[in-house]
Amino acid sequence: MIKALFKKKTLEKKLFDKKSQQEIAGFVIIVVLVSVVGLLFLSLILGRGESKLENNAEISYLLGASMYYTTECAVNFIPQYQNLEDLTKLCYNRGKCLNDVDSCRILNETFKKIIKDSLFVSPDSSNKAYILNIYYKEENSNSPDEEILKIEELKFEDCSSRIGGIESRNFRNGNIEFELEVCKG
Amino acid sequence: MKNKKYNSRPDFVIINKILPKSKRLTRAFNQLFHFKSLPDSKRSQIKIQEMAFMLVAVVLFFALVGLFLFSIFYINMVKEANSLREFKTLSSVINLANSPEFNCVDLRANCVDEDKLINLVDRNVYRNFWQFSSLRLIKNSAFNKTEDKIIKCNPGNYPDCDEFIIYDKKVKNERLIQSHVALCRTEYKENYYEKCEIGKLIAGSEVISG
Repeated sequence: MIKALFKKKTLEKKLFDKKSQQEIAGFVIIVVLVSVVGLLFLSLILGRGESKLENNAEISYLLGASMYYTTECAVNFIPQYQNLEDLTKLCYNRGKCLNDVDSCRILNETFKKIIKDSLFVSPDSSNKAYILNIYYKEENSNSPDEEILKIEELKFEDCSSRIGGIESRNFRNGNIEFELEVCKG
Repeated sequence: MKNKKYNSRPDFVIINKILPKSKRLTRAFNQLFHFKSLPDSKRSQIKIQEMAFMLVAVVLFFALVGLFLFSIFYINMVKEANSLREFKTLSSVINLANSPEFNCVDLRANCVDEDKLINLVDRNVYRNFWQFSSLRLIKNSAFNKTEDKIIKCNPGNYPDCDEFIIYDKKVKNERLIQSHVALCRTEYKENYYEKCEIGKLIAGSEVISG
C-alpha cells in the first residue's frame, strides 16, 4: 500500500513539475511571437519612411533660383535668351536655339555649371556626387513620367547622408519636376 | 487516517515512523502534498498571485517594447524638427530677398534686383534697419575665387564686380546664414534684356557668448 502510495505521489510530483515548466514555456512562446510581430511591423514602418527624398532647404532654394538663370540659348532673335525654365520646356519639345544648337545640350551644360559652382561638387569636398532628374508628370493620369534630362556626376555611393530638393513648374496638363539629390561624404 | 481537515493528506508523521531513515519522506515532498492538499481558498489565492505576477511581467514587456518604439519615433521627430528649423532660418534670409528693397520688379520669389542692390551698397542708413549684424551678396563669379581676389562692388565698377556689401557691423562672434538667390539686372546687347545669374545672400547674426 505504501509503495502504491509512493508511486502515485511521485507521478503527481512529476506532473506538477511539468505543469509549471509548460506554463513558463507558454509564456516564452507568447513573448517570442509578440516580438516577431512587433519587429515585422517596425520594419514595415521604417522601410516605408526611407523611400522618400528628404527635402533640404539649401537645395530647394538653389533649384528655385536656377529657374531664372539666363542661358546662352536665344530663340527667334538675340537677345531673346531663354531662362532655364523655358529652356527645359523647349528641350521637352525637342526645340533648337538660334544657329541650330540643340536646346537639351545647352540645358545639360548649364545645369552642370550651376550645380558644380554653387555646391562645390568634387570627390574631395563634402558634396561628393549628385543626381539631377528632370521629368514631366501629367496630372490625374496613370501614364508614366516622361524623362527630359538626367545628369549623374561622379560616383553616387558610400554616402554618409543624402540631401535633396524638388522644384515644380506648371506645364501643359501637368508639371515639370526638377529633382536634385546630393551625396554627402 | 486521523487528519481529516485536509483533503486526502497522508499522515506523514505516522508513515515516517514506520519507514526506515533512508526512505523517509523529505520536506519538499511534504510541501508538494501540502499545496495540493490546501483548502480551495488558499489555492485560488495562490493562482491569483501567479496571474498577478504574469500580468506585471507582460505589462513590463510591453512597456519596454513601447519605449523602444517611442525612441525610434522620437529620433525621426528630432530629424524633422531640425529640418524645419533649418528651413525657418533660411526663410528669414529668403524673406529678405523678397522684401521691397531687394526684390525683382515683377515680384518673382527668391529673386534679387542687382540694379537696386548697387544703390544700397555702403549706405549707413540701413545699418540698423534689419536685425542682422552684416549683409552681403556674392555673385557666382566669386564662388571659385579666394577672398583676396574678390572684387567689391561700387557704382564705379558695377556690374563687373563680385561682391555687394550692404553693411558690416564687424561684430566679434557672428553666425552666417546663406541662401541661393537669383540675381537679375538689365543688360544691353543689340537690345535691352534681363540677365539673371545665381548669387548667394549671406546674412550674419551676432552670437552672444556667455
